[in-house]
This record gives sequence, structure tokens and C-alpha cells, in this order.
Amino acid sequence: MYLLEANNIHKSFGETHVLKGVDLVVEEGQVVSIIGPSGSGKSTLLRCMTQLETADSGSISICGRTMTEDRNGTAVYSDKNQLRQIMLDVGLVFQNFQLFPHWSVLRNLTDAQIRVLGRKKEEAEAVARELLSRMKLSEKESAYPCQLSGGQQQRVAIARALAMSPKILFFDEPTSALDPELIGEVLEIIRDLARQHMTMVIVTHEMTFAREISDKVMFLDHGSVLAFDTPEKIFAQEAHSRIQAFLSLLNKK
Amino acid sequence: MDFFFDMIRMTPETFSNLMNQMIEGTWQALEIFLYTAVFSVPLGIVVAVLRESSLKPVAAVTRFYQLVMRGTPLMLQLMFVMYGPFYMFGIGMNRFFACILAFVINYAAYFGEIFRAGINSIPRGQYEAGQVLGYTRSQTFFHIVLPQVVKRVLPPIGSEFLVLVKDTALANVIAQPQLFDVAKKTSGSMVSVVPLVVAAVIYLVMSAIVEAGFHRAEQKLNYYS
Repeated sequence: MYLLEANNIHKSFGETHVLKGVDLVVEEGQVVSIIGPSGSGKSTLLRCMTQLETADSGSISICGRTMTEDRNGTAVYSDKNQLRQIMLDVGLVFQNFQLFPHWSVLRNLTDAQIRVLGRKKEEAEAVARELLSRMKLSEKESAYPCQLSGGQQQRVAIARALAMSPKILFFDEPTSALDPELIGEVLEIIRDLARQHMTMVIVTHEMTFAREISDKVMFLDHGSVLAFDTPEKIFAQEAHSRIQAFLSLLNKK
Repeated sequence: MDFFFDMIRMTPETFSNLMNQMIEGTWQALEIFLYTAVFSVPLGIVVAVLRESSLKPVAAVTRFYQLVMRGTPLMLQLMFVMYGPFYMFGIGMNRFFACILAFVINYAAYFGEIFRAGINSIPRGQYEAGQVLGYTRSQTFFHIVLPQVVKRVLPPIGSEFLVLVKDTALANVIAQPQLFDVAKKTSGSMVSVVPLVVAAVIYLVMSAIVEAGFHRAEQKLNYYS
């Protein structure tokens, strides 16, 4: 039983065919990394999974709920209630955090719990404080996002997503907007989540990290899956020549 | 004190009588200002949202309304709202109501543009973050986007409010009594520049109060950037 199952996803923006029949399956508790050159469709794939884009064709189901079904080459989306249910099972961490600047850290973590999930204020705050302590940010609960470093903001953003108790968490290049010295603290949090068997799909350019943390790695190139396998196989010497070329290009930097 | 009344060539009684009329006029100007402010700002948000509508005809009609409101004299609009219904359909308009109506639909057109700029300046990611957290579209707009918009539009809204303080004088064209009306009539009857100077000072004080209010509001919202 897969927690996420996507088949034959196609997506075009005007004339540009961004996703050309992508399949992705994620089992419960798995960490899947999506790597590949820029413009390969990684973010678009993630945005289709999180309903920020609509796929042109293909089928997606998350936690046993059908988001979209393929009918004669057209993606047919489920009704509003079903899509909303799926949305609540899904968390997303953005590249540039997207915290709400007018709210304190605590309110960023509690507001959706209260307004969307209908939790009591005390309960929401308890959840938020527990997460902040896991993120080692307990002393920042009354700070505003603009007073935090990039690494701290991203950790708050991860906590905000976790506060909604998602069954699967997506990361869209979570460290790409960070100064090099701040990347480590965010990756450490994600490692920690992996140890607790949080199901995660991570678009990343951090190859060492992807290799170390992932159960499966997908290599996406020009909207097609070149390989979807264990990190050992993806990063092996005898891997696909296109993957080798990409990895050696990264190593040169 | 005697020196003062000699200088303005008025008896204390005439001066006190003038000041009473001026105060009355100030209240009437304030009324126009407040009613216009209270109704035109929310309407401006509606105008901004309609102008950004994905329904092309809605956006086009809104844009045309804004063009008419911003492209014709407010003085003429006041005349049209006050006397138009009577000339066309024989419907007499309440003077104060016509005055407020004309001001509100005129100012909402300008506020619409200010809010539109504010709304468009909020990154798309803020809407997306709201969406993936499960907020409805209206929750995202009212709780996440609009508060940030308010902070950004305070300076231009404040500027429009200063214009509005002085624009209340235009109500003169439909004989709606207010400060300018009093100043004009009394300066004529007294053959004196004093009422004009007093009115100028009162307009300036009202503007200064509005400006100070916006300055404070900006400082209050300075806790985040």
C-alpha cells in the first residue's frame, strides 16, 4: 500500500512540456529525494502533488484518497471536499519559507490549527511549543519572522507544516535560499524527522544529503524519470551516463 | 486683546459670532470627511478585487467605472448626482446624501487603485502557504493577505485622506453647507479676509490631525517588515 501514488503525470505550460509522464510512488515512512538539473520539472512535480498546480493528465492518490484520475488522457480531479481532505494530509515546506510576517512565531504555528483544524487555543499552543522545542527555537516563540535568520525561519516553517499533523511532508529545495553556514541546521531537522519515519518527498540540490537520508532517489531530466532507485544505485559508478554527467558537474563546483 | 480686534477690524461680538459659524462649518466638513472615509475605503477594497477578477467583463466594467470617476471633475460628479436624477426622472435628491454618495464613489475609484497595487505586491507564495495549510480562499485573503496590504498602503491612503480634507470644500457646488461655504459667505458680507484665514488655519489643523493619525498607525505596524 503506497501512501502516495502518481502515474503518468503530464503537465505543460503553454508550449513547454514540463512533465512527460512521470510516475512516483512513496511508501509510508519512506524518504524520497528528487534530484536533477534545473528546469527538469522537479518543482512542478511537487506542485502537482500539493495541488498548487493541476496536472494535465495522469492520476494521483494520497493516503488512499484519489486526487485525480486519468480519463482518456485528461486528469479529472475529485470534488472539492475530497481535495480539501487530501490537502489536510499534506504539508509543504517552501524554498523561501513563506512565513506570515505579520504574526509572531507562535501565531504562525497556531493559527491554522485553530482556524482550519478547529483545535482549542491551549491545545494548539501546546503542539506549537512542543514543536518549537524540537526545532530548538523555544525562546523565539514571541519573535517575528523578520527577526530570525534564514535557518531559523525555515525551521519555523517546518514546524508550521508539522503542526497540522500531515501524513506526508513535501520539501521544495528547503536549503536553496539559505547561506551556506545555515544549511546544516535545517538538514539536521529533516534527518531527525527521517529517524522518526516521517514520510517525506524532498526536492534538493544537496547530493550528499540526498544520498545519506533517502530510501529512494528519483533523477528527473527534461520532465522524464531517468532513474528511480536506491541511493546506492543512483550514485553508483555504473549509473546512467546522464546522471553521472550531472553529478560530476556538481562536484566540480 | 484690544489690539487684536483693532487689527482684524472687528468687535469681539462679531468675531465670536464668526467663530461660531466657522465651528459649525467645521463640523459639517468633518461629517462629509468621516462618512466618505468610512464607506470609500472598504468599497475601494471591493473595487480592487473586482478589477483583478478573472472574469474579463467584470474587470472591464470596473476599469471603465474607475476611468469615469478619475477622468471627470469631482465638482461635475457632485452636480450630476445631486441634480441628474431630478432632471432625468424628476427624483429630488437629499443634498447631504447626494454629497456623500458622490464623494464615496469617486474616492473608492482611487482607493481601488491603491489597494490593487497593495494586493499585487504580496508574493504569490503567501497565498500558496495559506492554501496548503488548509485555509479557505477568503480566510487567506482576510487573515493573511489583507493585514499585510494595509501596512503597505497606509502612506498613499493617508495622502488621499489629506486631499479629501480639502476636497470637502467642493461640496459648495451643490450648496451643501460646510466650512468653505461659511468662509466664502462671511468674508463677503464682512468685507474681510479674516474668515478666509481662519478657514485656512482650520483646514490645516484638520490635515495635521489626519497626518498625525496615519503617522501613528504606521509606527504601530512597524513591528514587522
